[in-house]
Amino acid sequence: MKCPFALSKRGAAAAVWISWLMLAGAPTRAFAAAPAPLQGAVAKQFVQRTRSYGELRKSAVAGLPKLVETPSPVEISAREKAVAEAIRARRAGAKRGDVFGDAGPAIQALVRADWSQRPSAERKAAWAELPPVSAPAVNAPYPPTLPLATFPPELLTLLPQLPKSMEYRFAGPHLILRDVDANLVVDVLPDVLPGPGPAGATPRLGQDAGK
Amino acid sequence: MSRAGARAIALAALAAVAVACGPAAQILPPELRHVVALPRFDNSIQFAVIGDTGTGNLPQYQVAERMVEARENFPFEFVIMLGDNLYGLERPVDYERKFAVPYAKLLDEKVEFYASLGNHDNPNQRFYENFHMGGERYYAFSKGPARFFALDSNYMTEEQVAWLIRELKATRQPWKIAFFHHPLYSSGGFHGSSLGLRERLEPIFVKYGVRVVFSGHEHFYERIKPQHGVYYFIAGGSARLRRNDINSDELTAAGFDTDNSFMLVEIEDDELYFETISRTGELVESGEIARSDEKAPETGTTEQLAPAKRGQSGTGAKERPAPARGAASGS
Repeated sequence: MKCPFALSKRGAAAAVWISWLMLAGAPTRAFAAAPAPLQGAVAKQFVQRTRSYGELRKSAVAGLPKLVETPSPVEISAREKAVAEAIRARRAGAKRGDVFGDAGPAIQALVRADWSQRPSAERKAAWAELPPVSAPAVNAPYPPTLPLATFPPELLTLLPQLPKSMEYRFAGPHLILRDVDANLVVDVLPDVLPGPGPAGATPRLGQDAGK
Repeated sequence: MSRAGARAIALAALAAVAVACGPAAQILPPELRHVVALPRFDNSIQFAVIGDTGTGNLPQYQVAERMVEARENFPFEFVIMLGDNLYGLERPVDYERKFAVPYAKLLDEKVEFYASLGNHDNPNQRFYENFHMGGERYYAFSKGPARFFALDSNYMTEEQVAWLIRELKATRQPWKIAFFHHPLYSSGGFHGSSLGLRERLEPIFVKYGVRVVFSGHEHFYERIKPQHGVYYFIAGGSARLRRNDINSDELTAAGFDTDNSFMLVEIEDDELYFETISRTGELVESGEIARSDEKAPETGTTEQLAPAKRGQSGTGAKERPAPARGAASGS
């Protein structure tokens, strides 16, 4: 008796193709196309704004003594506060989006594309590190008791390079630009990361703070 | 319910919690504590490894005491720190309470600490003279036949990667040792392996001959089976402890997650010897690593371990054979 599920030659070929396409679309680094680095006019303008910040910063801290290695934590702490105050004074009217500007949506799309390709184990590990905070305010200090979650190295290769004084960081699901020496939030792109994600990637934010 | 009944239930609940959490083990009496049995060759370099230390709590101080004791028999000259050097606030008082005070005796004896940055560390720690970072987030230094590369695994920029490759290419020392916070391989249930970082760094380590890598982040001790010729250690349990977090799998060569610990390492010529010691003064394991697989001694390398103890997982249940080059057995 002929099997009721038997496929014709053409049907079998189609099934193989469909299977292959399903595998190719699976969210693994092995198959999915890697997101392209952010380029074009939007990226150039963003880089220009980060450079402008770098220039502003340079002039703001010009009058402060340069910090070199010291045995005194008091000096380290005082320098950090002084740099932060000087920058804050120069950027008194700074508001969210001043630096990200119209690059925000493109950066968000890039971050999400990168995130969606990470294996669930990696996403889970990332969530375990991300501190549970609401979007911090521009010009506020990065909360000193919260960890500075590791920034994915591959994502760094896709985003425009920042001046040395500035870095990308995630605070919860928010992407921030952080002034390294001043420990200051320069700009915020809220809710860049999608929610908890699929099963197995559930954040344990409340439990993991400070681990 | 009667008051006595309620009290009995409360006591039972407390007892259950105590059993689940496991009471901290007592420090062994001095006569029972492990005496360091590393070879101590004349021209060797000797150092300690600690990770995830900056709590300012009792276990950090107790591990520091064991380090001071160990130094009586094994006068290590420097310590590498695997990140999370200061948890929480980083006020001047925190530098004292979480670093300068617990390690005061070692600092007084001019032991140098070389720090790397963890995810709880403000990068401005790079200006703290006692951390010997030279104002840089990543840096390298040489000691005898070894060159050490302290990386900032929190923020692995292209610039840092290019620097690492440049430095490795220029290195003349036969031993290349990297240390940083996030482990490329880990059997920890809480964090696990840092896959993105592994993708970026492992090919470089393999290509340029990094032989040994020390990381923290996971609050336990684990020795990973060699991966592409590189030996990976996790020593992030020197103050905090994530009890029973090791999910021993095919990665684990040995593990210890029931108490805090630190490592002692000696490098002489083509061999590296190590001991891992617990907060209570017990030997966790000891072993040796040859600089290259071609030059591995006939007695084997790190498969020569103490028998696994309670709370340990390990492949090293073998009797340690007569050590090469007259090394004393610590098993």
